[in-house]
Amino acid sequence: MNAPAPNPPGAGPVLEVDGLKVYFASRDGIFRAVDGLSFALDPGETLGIVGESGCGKSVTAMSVLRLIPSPPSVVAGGAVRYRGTDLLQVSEARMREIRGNEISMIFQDPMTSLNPVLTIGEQIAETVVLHQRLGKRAAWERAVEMLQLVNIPEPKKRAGEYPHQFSGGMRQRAMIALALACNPNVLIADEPTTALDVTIQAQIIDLMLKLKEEFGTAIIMITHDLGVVAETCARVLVMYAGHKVEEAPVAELFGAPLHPYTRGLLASIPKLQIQGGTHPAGSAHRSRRQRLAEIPGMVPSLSGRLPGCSFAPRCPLATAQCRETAPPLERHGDRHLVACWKAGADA
Amino acid sequence: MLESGGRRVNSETSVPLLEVRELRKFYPIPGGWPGRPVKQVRALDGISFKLERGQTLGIVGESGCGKSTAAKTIMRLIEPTGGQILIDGLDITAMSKAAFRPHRKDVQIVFQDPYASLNPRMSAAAIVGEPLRNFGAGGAERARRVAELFDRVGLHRESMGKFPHEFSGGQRQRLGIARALALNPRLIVCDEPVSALDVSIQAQVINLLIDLQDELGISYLFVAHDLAVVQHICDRVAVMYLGRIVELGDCDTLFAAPLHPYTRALLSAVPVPDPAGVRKPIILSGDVPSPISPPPGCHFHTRCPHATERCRLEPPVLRATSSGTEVACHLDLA
Amino acid sequence: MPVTLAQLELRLESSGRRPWLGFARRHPLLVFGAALLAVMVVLALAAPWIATHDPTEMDILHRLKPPSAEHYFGTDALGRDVFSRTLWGGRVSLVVGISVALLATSLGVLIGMAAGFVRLADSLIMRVMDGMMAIPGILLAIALMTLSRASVRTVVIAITVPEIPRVVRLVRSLVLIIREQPYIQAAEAIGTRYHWLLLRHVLPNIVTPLIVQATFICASAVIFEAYLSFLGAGTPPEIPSWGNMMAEGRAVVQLAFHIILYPGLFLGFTVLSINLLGDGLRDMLDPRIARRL
Repeated sequence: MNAPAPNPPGAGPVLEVDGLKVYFASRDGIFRAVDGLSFALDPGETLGIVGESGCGKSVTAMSVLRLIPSPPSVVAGGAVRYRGTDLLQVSEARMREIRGNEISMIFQDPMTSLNPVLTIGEQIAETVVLHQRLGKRAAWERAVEMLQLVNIPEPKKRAGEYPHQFSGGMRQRAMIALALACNPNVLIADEPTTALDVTIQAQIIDLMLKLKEEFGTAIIMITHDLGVVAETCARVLVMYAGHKVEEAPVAELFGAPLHPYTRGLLASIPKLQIQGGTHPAGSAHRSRRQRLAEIPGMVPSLSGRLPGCSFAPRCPLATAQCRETAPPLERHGDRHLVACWKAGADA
Repeated sequence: MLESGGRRVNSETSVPLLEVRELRKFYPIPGGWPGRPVKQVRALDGISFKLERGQTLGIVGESGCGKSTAAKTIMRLIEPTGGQILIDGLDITAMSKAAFRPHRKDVQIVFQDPYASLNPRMSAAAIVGEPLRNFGAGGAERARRVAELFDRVGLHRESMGKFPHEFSGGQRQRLGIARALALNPRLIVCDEPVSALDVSIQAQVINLLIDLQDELGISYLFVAHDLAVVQHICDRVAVMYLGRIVELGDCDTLFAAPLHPYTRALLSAVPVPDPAGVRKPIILSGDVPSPISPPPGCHFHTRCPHATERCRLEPPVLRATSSGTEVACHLDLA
Repeated sequence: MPVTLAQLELRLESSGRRPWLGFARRHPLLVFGAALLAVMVVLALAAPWIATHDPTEMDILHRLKPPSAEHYFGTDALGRDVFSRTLWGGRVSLVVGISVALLATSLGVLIGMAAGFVRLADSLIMRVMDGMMAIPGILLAIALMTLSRASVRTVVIAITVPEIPRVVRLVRSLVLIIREQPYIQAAEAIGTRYHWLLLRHVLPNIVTPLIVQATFICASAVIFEAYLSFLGAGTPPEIPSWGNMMAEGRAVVQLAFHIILYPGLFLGFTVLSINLLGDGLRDMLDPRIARRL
């Protein structure tokens, strides 16, 4: 079977985003959705991109695969290098070869991401036929195989069914099967579990981790759920208003966050305390019903460009320097990057 | 306090603010001959609980469990098929809409979707002032009270003339809360009030709800699927599955020592924002069955790792256990 | 086609400097339709002043004359000035078009809201509407015209009736959607009474698609009136209308083509402009398209 050639070992990152700038234009102005983002994804690694709405994480993901129509969007700068080649410069024909084949994507809403008038088997087989040049019969077998792999019971029967006959969790599995059918080198997962119930989410996360082991795919996990990040990612980058504000290995990010936004975010989430959790049962009865540490204010509008750090208006540590000059990304520790003049300082 | 047109159930002992008894809501599925009973969606299959004054009761469960239906049925936005709803001892279940209307002042609701729960063609002041208008407040008094409410929920008075699309999600939710507060209700039903908000805004809104409860002594019926939020804000919690309550009890106790197999699986499935945390999720097999033909006996038996023959035949009832938590399960759960 | 940042910035700047130019570029259909319609309306309204002759004045000696300096559009079979008649005919079309649009929309809204809100009434109303839609509009209109003496008023009523079911359908489906919106439930929860609910919550939110629908009804009514008059079942012959002018001109089309041509052209332009206006309005009121650069 013609799988895309796996990344040769030691060849450097499989995907590298370098200074990406994606702007949107409308009558109300130019919105800087992504304003100079850089990161690297190593082969087989799971990288988490965390942020709230408007931070640019979804736009980044879609830009890698050039899925955003232009206009209204425009790439104002930067490069997206897949194994050395800048995807923003290649032809549309080459992009079509890459999408679904070498770089795949799964989306948040499994309801609307699957074609309702084609059976699941047909949709998976279609991508296999297109990219792997297999015949219809062989493609169908591969489709059934993939459904089996994602733990869908009775895969032969299910392959002939339509998306509306699947439950939410099963549809997401089908999407994963579709995305992995051609054994891509990179999988971009845009909020894959947000729309799912917690027990189904646990199943899907479990599945993704298992498949990652088997296929060795590098995954970019985009989410706003820090719990999901903690479970699935090796490295995390935190985005705010189109910029990267912090990047670190996962244990370090949660254990010793340096950027005030990351700290604020972690402090503002209620932590579930359960049996066998960090707090013994029956203690700290008043740990809840207490106010959560909140980050005041709102995410800034993306159209005005503030001279300084975009988080300054909401930051408890902001100084005049913060408001005047945007802090550069600096290295603190081994693989820990922070963009903050006051990195690590306490309020 | 006797109300005309109602039936006081218990005027002697302290009466719970809200009591629900065997509440049922079935939706008939159209089809078949008219007049012939056909299949039904059993959205609520007999739930019972009490909520005391000043308390917060959480209702958790996954999609399809009926928690939103419960919230709306208690508000009489959906008509119950059976059972009873008592507010301060007053049975409001069978009241006509007209008779119930004055009682709406006591029970208000905050919706999940900050975008769709505000009329896009009404100004913020009009939205928050509408409840007052409905119950006879004049223009000047309305304006004064609306300004007061804006202050209370942390919105600028200057934004009173703006329209919903000019506010952010978190601000819109504050508007919804202000509207719910307008009539000084004793109970606010919160139907997933923070699920649609960003994480950092969730904290703001949760804090607002906590503050309001401290200041005004409002009780909350807090419907949510986010267990961490529920644990944070609730005194007691009910876990629902396919239209029934499977476990009900004090929040701390229940989260520390869940008894029902579903509750255990649910709690174990929540991802914890701590990479060092060891989590052994109990992965449930299969999907949630359809509420149209729920499994006989215990609704959960098709996915329960400990199901017995009795579970297949006989639906369990909520029974009290030594810890005070009530569980609906045949098994002896120590 | 991918654009560059520089191109977008240029567009943004130019749309800011001269907003009306930006508006015209974004909504060409709307602007063109509105302009053309404005011309037609002005011509019709100004008929008493710019018409060269009395539209009913017959001059048998000079009948069927081709266009000339004295009669811009020539004369018809009875020697009447086609130019003046065409201008005056526009007034009839305007009156009919606007009246039908307003009347059909108002009645349709009332009936549609009743159908959308009152379950019992719904089936009954919709079956009646289905029945009405099953009869070809023309036949229904002609039948209604036979019930009383022909006049512009009866023409308006006859054309309104077949147009009502369309509006009812639209309103009903909008109401069904809106009814499920949380803000309607919220209004119920805060004790809002039914009539206020309909007036303040439902109606303002169905106005937008209704406006677009009303313009299309207007266009349809203008053509409808022309059909009816052409068939002799519409505007009475003593009142000039494009339809009956074309009916009269049919007999002499080989000799005096101008009698059909000019009213036909005016009719075409008027209907075209209303349709373009409607299309443009629909695009303008769609928030996604409206905020495009």
